Order: sequence, then C-alpha cells, then structure tokens
Amino acid sequence: MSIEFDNNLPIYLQIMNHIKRQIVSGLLQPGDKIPSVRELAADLQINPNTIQRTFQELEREEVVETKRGLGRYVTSEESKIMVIKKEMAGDLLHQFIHGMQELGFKNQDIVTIVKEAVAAKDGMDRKGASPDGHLAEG
Amino acid sequence: MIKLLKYDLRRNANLLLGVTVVLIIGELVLLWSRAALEIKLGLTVFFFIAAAVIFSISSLKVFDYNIKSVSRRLLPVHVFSYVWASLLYGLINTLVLTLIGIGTALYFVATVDASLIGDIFHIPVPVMAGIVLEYILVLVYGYFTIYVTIALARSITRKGVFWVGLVIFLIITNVTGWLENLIFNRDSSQIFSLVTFHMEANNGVLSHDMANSNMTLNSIGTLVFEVLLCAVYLLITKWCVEKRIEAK
Amino acid sequence: MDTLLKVNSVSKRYGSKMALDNVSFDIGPGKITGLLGSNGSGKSTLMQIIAGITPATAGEISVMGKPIGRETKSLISYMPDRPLTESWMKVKDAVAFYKDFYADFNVEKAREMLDFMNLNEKSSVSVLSKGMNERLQLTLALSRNVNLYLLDEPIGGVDPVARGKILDAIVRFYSEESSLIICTHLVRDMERIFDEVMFLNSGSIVLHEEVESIRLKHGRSVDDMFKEVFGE
Repeated sequence: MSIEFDNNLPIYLQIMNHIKRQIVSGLLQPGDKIPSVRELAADLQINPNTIQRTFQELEREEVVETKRGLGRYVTSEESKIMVIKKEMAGDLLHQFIHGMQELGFKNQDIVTIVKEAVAAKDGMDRKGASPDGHLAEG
Repeated sequence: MIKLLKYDLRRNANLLLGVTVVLIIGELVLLWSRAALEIKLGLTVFFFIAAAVIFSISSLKVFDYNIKSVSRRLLPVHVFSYVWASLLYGLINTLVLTLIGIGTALYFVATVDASLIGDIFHIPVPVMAGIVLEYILVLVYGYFTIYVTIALARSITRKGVFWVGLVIFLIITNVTGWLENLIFNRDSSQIFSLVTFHMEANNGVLSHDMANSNMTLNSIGTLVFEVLLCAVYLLITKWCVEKRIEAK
Repeated sequence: MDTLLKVNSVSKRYGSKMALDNVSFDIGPGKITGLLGSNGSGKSTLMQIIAGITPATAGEISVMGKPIGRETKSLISYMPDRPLTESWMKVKDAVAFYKDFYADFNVEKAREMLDFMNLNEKSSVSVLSKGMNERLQLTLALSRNVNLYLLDEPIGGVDPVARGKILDAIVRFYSEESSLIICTHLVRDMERIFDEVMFLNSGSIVLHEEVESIRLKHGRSVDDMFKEVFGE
C-alpha cells in the first residue's frame, strides 16, 4: 500500500480517509481483516501510535471492529458502510454545489445539468471514449 | 576487565607481535654473529630500549583510548576496569620484554663468566621473589603516576594535552620525590630497596644482602607511601573520567 | 512508570559558549521523539550527556528514576553520528563486542537485521561505505533490548534506498515500553515516524509538541514549522 501523504494535515485523518475510501469502493469488503498496527506502520513507514489513533477513531465511528484475539475487521453491517459513503459524498457534494452556485447556476439547473452529465458519461464509458469526447483508438 | 584487555590486545595485535618478532629475530641474528662483545651489548641495549619505548607508548595509548573513546565510555563498566585493563596490558608487554631480556642477559653473563650462571640460579627464592615484587611495584607505581597525569591533563584542556601532561608529570614526580625525601629521608629513584646485590668481580662470586640490613623503617615506609599514592591516583583518575573527561 | 527520561535544567558550557541552556523536558515510554535543530544547536551534545559520555555543567538527568551513570548505560543504547567500530574489526567482531559487553544484546535479532540491511558478517569494517556503516551502527544499537534508544542522524548521508530500510527497521522495532529519541536535520523524510518533536535552537528548547497537534493546530508540516523557526 502506498499513499501520498500531505505532511501539512494530520496523518491519522488521512489514513482514516484512505481506509474509508477503500471500504466504500469495495477494495475492502465488509468483514475483511485489516492489517495490524505494526504491519501498517511498517508498510507506510508511519509512527505506530498514529496508526493506533487511526484505528481507535475508526472503532469509535464503528467502521471497524476488534475481535478479541483475532484482530481488526471492517464492520459487516452494510448500514454503517452506507453512512460512510454518504459522509464522504457529503463533502464532495457540498464543494460541487458551492462551486456551481458561484458560476451562477440556479438549484434547478444544477439538478438538470447533473442528470445530463451522468447520462453522457455513461454513454462515453460504454463506447470506450476518453473523457474529453474523443473516441479511443481501437 | 579481562574483556577490555582482550579487545585492547586484539586492536594492537599487529604492533605487539611485530615488535616482539623483530626483537627476537634481531637479537638472535646479533648474538649469533661474530661481532665484538661490546658491539653486541651496545646494540642489544639499543634494541631493548627501542622495544620498551614502543611498548610503553602503546600502553599509554591503550589507557588513553579506554578513558576517552566513545565505544569504551558507553560500556556499563566501572571506571576502575579501564585502569586495571590498561595496567594488565602494560604488565603483559613488560613481562614479554623481561623474559626476552633475561634470556639475552643470561647469554651475556655466560659469555663473561659461565660460573656466574650457577650463582644466579642459587639465589634463594625469597630474594628472587623480593626482586620480582619490587620490580612489579615500581612498574605499577610508574603506570599509575602516568595514568593520573593523562587523566588530569585531559580534564584540564583539550589542546596541547601532551605538554600539559608533561608539566603535570614533572610537578607530581618532583613533589612526591620531595615528600619522600622529607619523610623517609630517601630518594624515590632508588629501586631494589629491599635487597642489594654485591657483585664481586674479582673472585666472580655473587653474593647478596637480604632484607635485614636494608629493610629499615624508611624503605617500608616508602613502599606504603607509594601504595597509598597509587590509591589516591586511582581515585583522582576515577573523578576525572566521570566528571570531566568527554568521550570523543 | 510514567516518565522514562527526565531532563532537569541541564546546561553545558564550553568556555564562554553555552551549548545547552537550561534544558528541561520529560519523555514517557512508547514514544518516538524527534530532536530537531540546525547544526551546532546542541542536539548531539544533549544526546551525549544523556548517554553519559559527556558531563553536564549543571542540571540533573534521570532514566527510569536513576541518575546518569554506570547503571543507566545498561538502560540506554546510543548510536552516535560517527562509527564506533575499530578498524581491525570485521562485522562479526563488532557484533561479538556488543554481545560481550551488553547483557541485553540480542544476537539473533542482530543477525536478522544485518541480513535485512544486506550486511555480510565477514566484511571488514574498514571497507564498508558510509551508508553501510550507518546501517551497521543502527543494527548494533537497535539489537539491544533497552528502555531508551538515542539515535544521532540515523539517515544522514545515506542513499534513499538505505533510508527506506532504516526507517522501516526503526518502525518495526518500536515497542510500547521503550522510547526513541532521534536527532535529524532531514525533517521531511522523518516527520511521519515521530510522535512528538522538540526544536532545539542555540541550546534552548523552543518547541515541544505532538506532531499531529502541529498539523491540526497550525495546519503546517513539521518541516515547514522547522524552516519557519530556524529561518532557512
């Protein structure tokens, strides 16, 4: 695992986000085992106490649970995972809406534009085109 | 302490072995040659002095290394261990030189007058023991004096340690010599104070005067005084190493 | 035991110069602390005093409640910024030396780490490059099982590959009962492994904080903070 860390922001938060993204994207499935503090610390070359703090926070948020004697596991409750998804989406949405409003779009227009954009992206994905509209070479 | 000695010996192994081998071979070649006796004697003395100087400097460097190097000073050992290890190192070197020296001396004695050898081997054990003991005590006293000099010099200054040490050494030896003269009415440079030898060159007989005539209060007193001085030097060295000398 | 190392009003004077001026701090167990400062800031001197090889001019230091002396040498493992090995030694001699004198030395661990660092026991110490020498020093220092490790510039002058290995070894090695104090001027490479940092400027401690607090409260990396304080 190699992550790009920003030394200007608390590392434990960055690791938390990284793990949450892995859960949300399915790289970490519900019930999957998480590496131990030592393993993760050695992998990332980060202070073990920082990793410990990350895990403690994740446990507090019930994203991760400890099974005595066995280790730490991603929560198997789908509802919790949905909560994380919404949370992570939440920041993204907030920034997006704010950005669109600054460009002058009204709320109704924003919804329409998003529907069109999603459909268009779907279509492009199926044709295998690159995001700027050109067809992929084939 | 023995562990320290082991590493000191290994570190200096090349030097020690080299000098010893060169000395032995040099002597053998010399004595086997057809040169005149005076030349052989002269060169032998030269060789031994050279070897002794090299060994002495090595011993002092070993002590200096023990009290000053980072790797030694980090060790969880008592300060006295540094002293004992260095002393043993010095004594071992001296022993090696002495043994070679005795062998060589016996050769010369035999050349001059073979019958003297028999006399030498007839010297009673207590007298021999007395000589050996005195010899060792003189060495130990000498080493301790130089150790405390090095320790003090390194406690006082970081540059010009050699010259400061020289001054300290002269001060210490002169003061103690003066004290001994005052208290015991004798010269500390007089060795073999317990036993005196008479060499009767005429009739070639070696006789000796054992302790009785010379073991006066003065000579015992000097001995005790010097032993006490060694103890004082030891404590001063300990203080210097623990409180003043930085490892480099 | 709540404090592993207590440093109380320690000063060190060289002639007219104060290398350390009234330095005080406590370090608890299970911490990796960065001791940061520019060259000549006094950090090596401070480490040497804690290690017991340089006497302080004033102040007291205790490790596990014991004052600095012969006993604490068994509780502290010090890696200086210069090699400790004697030129006649091979790597295995250096290992044997540690084993001979330090009862807490773990030979198995040392061999493992030597392997990990690609060091051959039969190599002569004098032919090792600077980087390999640092790796050897670190291996010896970390193979002792003690309460306090003092590492002076463990990655200085070492290529990036070796740096990675060294940081890896330090992190793998961590235990909750012991603490490490690491001196470095390569802040950016090391700041992720510190719990807390102390900035030492001209002999005085100007900052002593948890690393994540610096990031949270000031929104800066330790490296940026360092540049600000030391004005590069």
